Amino acid sequence: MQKGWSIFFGVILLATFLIWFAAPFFGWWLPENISTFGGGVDNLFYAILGLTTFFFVLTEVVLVYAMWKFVDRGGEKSVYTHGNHTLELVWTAIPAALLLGIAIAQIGVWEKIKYQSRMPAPDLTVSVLARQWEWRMRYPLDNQQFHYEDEDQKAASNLKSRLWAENPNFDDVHAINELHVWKNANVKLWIRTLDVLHSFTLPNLRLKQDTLPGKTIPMWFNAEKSNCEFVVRERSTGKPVTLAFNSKTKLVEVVTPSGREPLEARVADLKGELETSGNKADNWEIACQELCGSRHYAMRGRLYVHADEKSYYAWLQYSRGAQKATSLEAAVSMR
Amino acid sequence: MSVSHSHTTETHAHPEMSILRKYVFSEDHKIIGIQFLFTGLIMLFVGGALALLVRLQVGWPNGTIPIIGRWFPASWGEKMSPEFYTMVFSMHASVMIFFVIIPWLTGAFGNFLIPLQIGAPDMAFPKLNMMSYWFMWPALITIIWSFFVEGGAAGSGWTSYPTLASAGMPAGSGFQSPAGPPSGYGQILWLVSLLFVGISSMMGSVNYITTIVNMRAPGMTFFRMPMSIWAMFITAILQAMALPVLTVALILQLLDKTLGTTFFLPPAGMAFGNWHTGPGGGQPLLWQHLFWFYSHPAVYIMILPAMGMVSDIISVFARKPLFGYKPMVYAIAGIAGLGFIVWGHHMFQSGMDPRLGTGFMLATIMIALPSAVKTFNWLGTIWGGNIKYTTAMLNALAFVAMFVIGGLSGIFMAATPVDVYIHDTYFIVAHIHYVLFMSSIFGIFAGIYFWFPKMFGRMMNETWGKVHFVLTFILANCTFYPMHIIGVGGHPRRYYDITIYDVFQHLQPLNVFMSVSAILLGLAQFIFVANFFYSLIWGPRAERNPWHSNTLEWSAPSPPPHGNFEETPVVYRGPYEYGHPDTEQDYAPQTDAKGPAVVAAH
Amino acid sequence: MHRQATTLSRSLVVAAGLVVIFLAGCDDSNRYPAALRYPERADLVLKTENTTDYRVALPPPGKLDEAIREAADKKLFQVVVDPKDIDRKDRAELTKALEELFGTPAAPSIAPIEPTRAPRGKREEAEENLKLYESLLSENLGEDISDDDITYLVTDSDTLNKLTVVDPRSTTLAKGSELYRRHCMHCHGVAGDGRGPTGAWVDPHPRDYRQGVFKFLSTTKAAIASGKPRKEDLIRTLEKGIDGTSMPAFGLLPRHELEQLASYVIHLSLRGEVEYDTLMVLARDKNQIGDDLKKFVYQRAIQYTGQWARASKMEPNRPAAYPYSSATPEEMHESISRGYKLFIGKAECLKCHMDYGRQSAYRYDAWGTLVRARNLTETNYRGGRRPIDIYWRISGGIPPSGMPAHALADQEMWDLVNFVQALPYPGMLPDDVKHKVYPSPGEKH
Repeated sequence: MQKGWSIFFGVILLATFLIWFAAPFFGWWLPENISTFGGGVDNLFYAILGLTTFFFVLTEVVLVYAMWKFVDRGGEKSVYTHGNHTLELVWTAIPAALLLGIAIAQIGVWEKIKYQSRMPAPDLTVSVLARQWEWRMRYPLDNQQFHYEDEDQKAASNLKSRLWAENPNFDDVHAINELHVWKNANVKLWIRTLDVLHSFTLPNLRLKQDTLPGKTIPMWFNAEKSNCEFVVRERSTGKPVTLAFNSKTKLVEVVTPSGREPLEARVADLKGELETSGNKADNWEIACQELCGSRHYAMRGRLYVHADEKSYYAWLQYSRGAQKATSLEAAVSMR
Repeated sequence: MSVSHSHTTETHAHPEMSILRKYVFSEDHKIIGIQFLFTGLIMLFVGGALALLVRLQVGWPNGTIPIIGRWFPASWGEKMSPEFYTMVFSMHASVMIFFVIIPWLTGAFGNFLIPLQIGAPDMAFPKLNMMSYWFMWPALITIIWSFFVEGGAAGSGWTSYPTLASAGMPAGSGFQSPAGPPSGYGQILWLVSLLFVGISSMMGSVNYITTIVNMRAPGMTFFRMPMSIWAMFITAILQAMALPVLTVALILQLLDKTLGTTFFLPPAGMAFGNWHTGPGGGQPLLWQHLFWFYSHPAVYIMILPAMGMVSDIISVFARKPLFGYKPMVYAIAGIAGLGFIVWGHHMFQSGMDPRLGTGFMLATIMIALPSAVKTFNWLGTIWGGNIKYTTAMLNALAFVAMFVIGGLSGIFMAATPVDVYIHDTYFIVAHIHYVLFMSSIFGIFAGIYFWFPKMFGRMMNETWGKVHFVLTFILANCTFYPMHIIGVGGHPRRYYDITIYDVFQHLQPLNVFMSVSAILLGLAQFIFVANFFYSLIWGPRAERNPWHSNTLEWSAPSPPPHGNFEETPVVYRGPYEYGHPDTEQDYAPQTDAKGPAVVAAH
Repeated sequence: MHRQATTLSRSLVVAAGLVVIFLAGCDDSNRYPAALRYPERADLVLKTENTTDYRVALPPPGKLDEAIREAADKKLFQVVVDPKDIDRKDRAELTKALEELFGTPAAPSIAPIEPTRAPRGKREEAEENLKLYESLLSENLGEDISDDDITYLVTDSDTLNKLTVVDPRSTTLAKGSELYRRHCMHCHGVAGDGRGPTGAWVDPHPRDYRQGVFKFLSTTKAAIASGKPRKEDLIRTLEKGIDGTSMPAFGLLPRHELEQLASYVIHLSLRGEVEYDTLMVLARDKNQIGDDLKKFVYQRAIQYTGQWARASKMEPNRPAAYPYSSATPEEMHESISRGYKLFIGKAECLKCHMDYGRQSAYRYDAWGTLVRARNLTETNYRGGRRPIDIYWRISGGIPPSGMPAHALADQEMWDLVNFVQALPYPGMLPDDVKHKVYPSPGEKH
């Protein structure tokens, strides 16, 4: 009868153990990772999961077994001991070594994600301004100005791009809650806040950074998978138009029989759309994860990873055109 | 275990005392402890009701909630508003931490056990002790009052991070905050309330330290003290050292909110639509450093006493000496020491220099070590024992089983890169509840079942105790375990409605499951309350030492009179001499001069 | 022991039963409770045409109605009606008529319910209501409005259910109401009064739709006498949010959901405006109503429905071709300089946008709350940052907040737009203009 308690503990603990194996089958697991450093985070997660599972099983099995085996035997005395020196040493030293191992193993990934000195030269720089309760993104027309080849230029370039992030430029393209990047681009974000703390979190990128009032904080990532493409069609006929992309000047042009024209200037005659797979799993979202007031839960943004640089710049220059709309036709061009 | 009625007639040392002096403004440590116990019990139900409101919202974010929906005004669409939700979870945590766990562990058990277990007639400063309890009342009144002020109670989380919590209008334009309704009067009252709690805790800590150092009975050396006392001693030191920092932080925020200082306001100030706070000259990160410098040690304040009590209870019911007494003491001291240099791990994503994060990570990972040592020693204690499954023992064993989970899940957050993903998700919610609910509360239940006979002179009902234990153990796991899973899925904490997110909405069925479990868990606690009050009045009378335990409190009558012991006890050995091969009975009370020779503690 | 056991078991069983009942009642349908009614208007009914500037501070957070009442006591508004003063009987009749026309939050409509859908005991009454409504409809609606125009207001591209006016409980409105409850209600309130639990705690306060006027229109008041926006304008505001206010952008919601929301907002605005208007008339000129309050309410509902339909049919204000599409930087500078002169001169912008908006004074808007002319040296534009948005603001004005419409020559218009667009960026301004707008310290401006 008394041994039933051992079974009771055993069953509950077994259930908590098994749920880890069942959860992935229901999709209750890490969302898909799409960043270059996310793999490191996931590996570390699995390593710690393995290690903790081992110690969980070890201690709980011992506990349940002892509860079964050493139940009150009536009249008999228990083993009289105050401890064991060797045992104490063993179960201090082994976990210590393992913990130290984990601690050292993770430093590299952490440095890669967060250290400013390790951040790569950006292909794309975006300014993110958080406020109650949305993310306002700002894109420079010219990304070349913040790029550098030489490590010597890093500090100067960093300063330049931070100043840009703090002071809007006339040519900047604005988007609310939408973060556009392209596949395999090194993206640098400068995040700021107008009011309270927020936390810029992208679960699919394994990325998170709080915003701090009064500070401009850099983050970076590189997405390895794309989820959208920007397609431009004739407004009247609905036919896709051919775009030419100059990878040096980053200028996107519409190719017509009569010649080439900058995409930005043709917005009124064209209809640009982001084409996505429509698959919910490809909706990579931005969430705020630092309490910022009542609508904290509703600071939803979305990450659009374009298939290539051309698609991104087509979106950027098309948006720029739409943002400069002076005619009714251009004003209704883009959602 | 046989229970016989005790017929000892007890003479009170101060028969002339009025009822008011004896039971209300009492200077007797036992009465004060019991006062803390009852206050904590009431607040447990306040905090629990708040928790259920949180679960209702999270489980059915857009549904109509029967009965309760009607409480919300028609202008809210009979639905909980997002502000109300932030208020509810913030107050749930504040109430549970500052008004339930800390008062129970240090206030109730600390007061009740320290003089009894070290063989002292009372605390060193009985008046201070009384004031420590009565300073809880202004705190209680302010916190309850805050629910009814304009804007509602504080809603910036129990951490009250500036600038959400601290933002105010420029000096002279009122105390309402542009950051949101709960950041106004409610936040001010929250700060005031916590200041009072701090004063109360500080009075307690000073008293505990003095009493333990100065008032031990003859023969009660430091290394003959039971683990409960060691834990209370180290906790009191922790509290005495960390509390001033919290007090400073609270005062700074209070000044920001009332006098228009700008300790936490950045130079540019903040804009909320048309409202502007005006320029500042401070730094919001300062609060996080100050707050966690206290609140991380506070996490240990909320678990160490439970660890101590569980150690005692396990040893008694395993009928076996505590395995590795000295390593256990060193482990507690180690946790406390390391506890002071790990606060930064709450701030890995805060915008603090990431290189600082690396340092805090190393310290944090290492704090798992003493916790592991403690777990292994508890296992060592029951190994080879003669386990008696009383309700107290079951709760204590549940503590051990669940602390393993709570401890191991901490390693995930300590690992900085994993924390990048896991931070502020439900994984941390799971972790804190495995430590504070599944561990501390089970420890407290164990303590109540174990010391109830000594406190009230009656036995609690074992059958219903076990029913309560079984239901709580199952339902608490159903409520909190899936939080790990949704945390891995990325479910952010403090969200009013996750279903608007494509990445999270598939986790919603688990939320419903947890909410149902939580409601049932809440109801199961009424069994405990019923058992508690029934036994208080009609329970069978308890003898002096119903559990055949060694420690000093069991040599006093149940309940002990004012002054505790008939004569000053003399201690002959350590507290854990169970199952000694040379004796007839399987225990040897610390006061028993005839027992086995003094055994050096390991 | 036995007594304890039975008491405990009994209470346990009862508790378990209660939990089952409770949980069975929890549903997650997004819908308003069916029994919930639109609350009767309780705040002051105002008419303001106040153009005086005030050197006052904003009221502190949480004081929306208190501040309005205070200003009303100081006689700062033209007309103030306290709904409390209306005869209870009239009020009840109004509430009943409103419910017949507009339904409940869970089942919204913009016309009386079709008799076949009415509950069994209420069919006859419903038939009468509908008859009254239809007879008034043919009398009151101009020939330029067709059924389809009205249907457009309460349909969306997803459902596309072809509905007639007599069957207005469209799924669009019902879905709009669910979405509204989820995304909008806690600021804009159940009745669209801008007095949800969060409403008073953000400034600018959420829009109160019950006056039937809105700020950001792509048409001009001259073109649409009622000053109603196009449905498309509401959708644009939803999509982009309103920069500088607490109105977030809902651009991530699919298009048809935005249409459903806009339809529901139109429904709330219609209902609110009929209530607003009737209360005004009841308090000030009761004779106008005669003894048939219900008929009056129905007439007003039809009148405003027509206004919405007319506005939505309207093509937006079409600006003249932009003359600077291929301008050189010098030409641009010249345009900006001309715009600057207009700004400080003929267009009289500085009158309200004092010091380019940096020191604008407060004044009361149509809803009795304090607003101020935008600070144009910041980079946010509430009505949108495109040149055409700014063009629409200048040419159409923002009537409810006192920004007047400006009639300028085509080129002047664009010069002014160019200047306003360049204003926040000192680098974009010609040197002489820059020194005027951004004087270096010590320099007097």
